[in-house]
Amino acid sequence: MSKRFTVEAGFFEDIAAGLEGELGPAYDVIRRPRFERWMDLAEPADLAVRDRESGQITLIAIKVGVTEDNHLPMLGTMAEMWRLKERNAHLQPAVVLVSAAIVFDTLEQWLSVRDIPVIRGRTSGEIVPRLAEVIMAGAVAHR
Amino acid sequence: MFAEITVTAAEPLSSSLEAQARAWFGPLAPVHVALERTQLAKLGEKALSIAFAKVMSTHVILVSRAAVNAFSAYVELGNVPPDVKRLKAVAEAAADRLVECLAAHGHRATSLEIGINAEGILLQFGRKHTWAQRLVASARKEIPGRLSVPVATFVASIWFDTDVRRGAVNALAALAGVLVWLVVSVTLEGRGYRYE
Repeated sequence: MSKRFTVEAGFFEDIAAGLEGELGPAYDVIRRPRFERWMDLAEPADLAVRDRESGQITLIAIKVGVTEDNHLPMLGTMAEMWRLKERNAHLQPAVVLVSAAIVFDTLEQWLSVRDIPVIRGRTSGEIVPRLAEVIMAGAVAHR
Repeated sequence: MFAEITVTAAEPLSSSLEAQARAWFGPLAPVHVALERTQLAKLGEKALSIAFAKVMSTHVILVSRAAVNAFSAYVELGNVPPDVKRLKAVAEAAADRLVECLAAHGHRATSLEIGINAEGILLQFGRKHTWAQRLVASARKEIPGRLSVPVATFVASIWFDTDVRRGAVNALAALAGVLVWLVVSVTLEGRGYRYE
């Protein structure tokens, strides 16, 4: 990986571990959930969180950039997030995009219309609290 | 596998630019026809607000307005095996055309990026830099290494009080030499894309 990579090594694991700490034992945090057969995921996410009480599943896609100021691909990201939501519709998941790259307003609006929140940040410290908030709000709404 | 190009200008682009950009891409195809040939097919034409599309025998280009000051172009190879080299070549040609179009209508592209993506992963990221940006990047990379010995010699000459003048001249000569070398090498290296 390039030395100019925008996020620190262990970014993904830091987010997963941070979420475990923030959400507590009421939630399962599943890394690379494509290998969890019980979830029956048709389209893999980077992280999944399950509220044990309500059963609500949140699928999280994590995108990073190569430099500090590069943009997330617009149409490619739309397609990916759409697939994540639609192909896993049988699970009725909440879907969240976490991006360390810049997100165009057009893309953010497109995702917002489809109930996909975007969380921007370059460190797990910036991302985890907001991500936990979004997950908990979704789980409460689901109950 | 697809490439996505982002061309950003310093100022907001005029709303008529999309229509003008069509001319730079030659004969165009209906958007729904182009979409059907890509992985985006199921997203639907209206949802994506694509300005125009071009279908070639080997690839499809979809151009859309990403922001008030930016165009985004999606490039996907079709009917050919995945080939990063070919995808890059096609994407670079499309990016150059977008920049030419902007320049012809009085806009200056301040940033030009190409991301090569596959399976949701950014494989390579290319960027075209201006001469000044390349000079600054090369200077940051080259100057510390090339000047370390003359500067250390100069500092040692001050420290031990031995021929300070010669040490200073050596350090300045080395700095001048490095700067001249940087200007020449950056000018000669061409304006291609740099991928990481």
